[in-house]
Amino acid sequence: MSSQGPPVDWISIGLGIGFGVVVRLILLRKDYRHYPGYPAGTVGQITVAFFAAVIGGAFFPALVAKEYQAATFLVLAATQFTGLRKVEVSKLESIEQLTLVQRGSSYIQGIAQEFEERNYLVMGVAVVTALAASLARTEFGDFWPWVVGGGVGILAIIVAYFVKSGPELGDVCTAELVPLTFKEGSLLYAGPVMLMEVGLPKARERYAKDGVGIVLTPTTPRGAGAIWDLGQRQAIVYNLYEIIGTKTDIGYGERIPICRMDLPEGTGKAGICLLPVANDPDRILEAVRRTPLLETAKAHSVHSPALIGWQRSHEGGK
Amino acid sequence: MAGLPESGSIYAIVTLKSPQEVQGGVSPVFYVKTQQEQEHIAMWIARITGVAVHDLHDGTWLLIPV
Repeated sequence: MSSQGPPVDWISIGLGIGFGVVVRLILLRKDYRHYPGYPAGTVGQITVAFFAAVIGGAFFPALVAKEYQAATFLVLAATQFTGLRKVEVSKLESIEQLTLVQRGSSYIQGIAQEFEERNYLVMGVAVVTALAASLARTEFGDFWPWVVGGGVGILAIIVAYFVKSGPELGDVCTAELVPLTFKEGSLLYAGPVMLMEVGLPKARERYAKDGVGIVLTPTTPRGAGAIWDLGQRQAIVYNLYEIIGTKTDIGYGERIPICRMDLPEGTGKAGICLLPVANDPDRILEAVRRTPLLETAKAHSVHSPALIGWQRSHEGGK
Repeated sequence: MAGLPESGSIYAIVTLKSPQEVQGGVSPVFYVKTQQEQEHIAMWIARITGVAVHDLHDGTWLLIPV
């Protein structure tokens, strides 16, 4: 088929694939901590990224060569990536039973969605790069695809780097270390926030000796909404468990770190208790701040425009 | 934890009170004589089964799955 049409635009396709794979490698390096199976997972992700780059890179040259069937593979690939997300979700859900601190379904969906989106980013970078190179080739001749394609590819990588993932918790909340105290005999407090009742005297001694308290204070309406979300709070606690470690095991249920809101006052602050393995204050706060702000927690009613409007009219009506 | 009843249900009761004051219903009751014995039994059950101990501050401790 293609032997009868115009010659295959290998430069554009090659540039598209190259930049597509490079963007995935850059993004992979940025957040390998989300991925437990480091060697195996990396190979898998790069392979899928290569497929995405091939499809993205070949899209525009295929259109130019009037190979419309080839162009429709872009749509087919999107279905495949959705399938990969489902595999990722079921994998993470199946290992939940054997982790001491659960990620929670919100965090799992967030991770899987991010992996799916990265393949679209790869495909997007490949499409844009190949498109620029292909146009430069037809307009200016054989040398220019390298320059224009390369330039556009680098720009696309920079753009992809900034849209790769949303804000982190540190952008919308402040985190500070506070001492853990017991009030009324057995109620565990992190600063002003009551967390839970610890009945065993030995467990209370352990918290008093090794425990670390963290108080989160939202700085933006978005942050206030985020920490009311249970999935977001579970993600924070999981991040602490994954990065700092917590001194717990099966049979030590009271040692599992938890994050609770300041109630009954409802000041919007959240408290966390932790028995850290690596008791380094800077690392603990960094682990909290670096927790990704989850998609599910972003659209919370606390800062919904509808509710803010309702509050205003309600106050105005008084 | 796997194998435990639903979180929030009462798994067992360890009490200093008499059988007339505290009765089991669906969960087993361990009657103890001293606080030391109470602590000992509650901790053993917690470590064996993975439940958390909660103090009602009236001499009765509840063991609740987390």
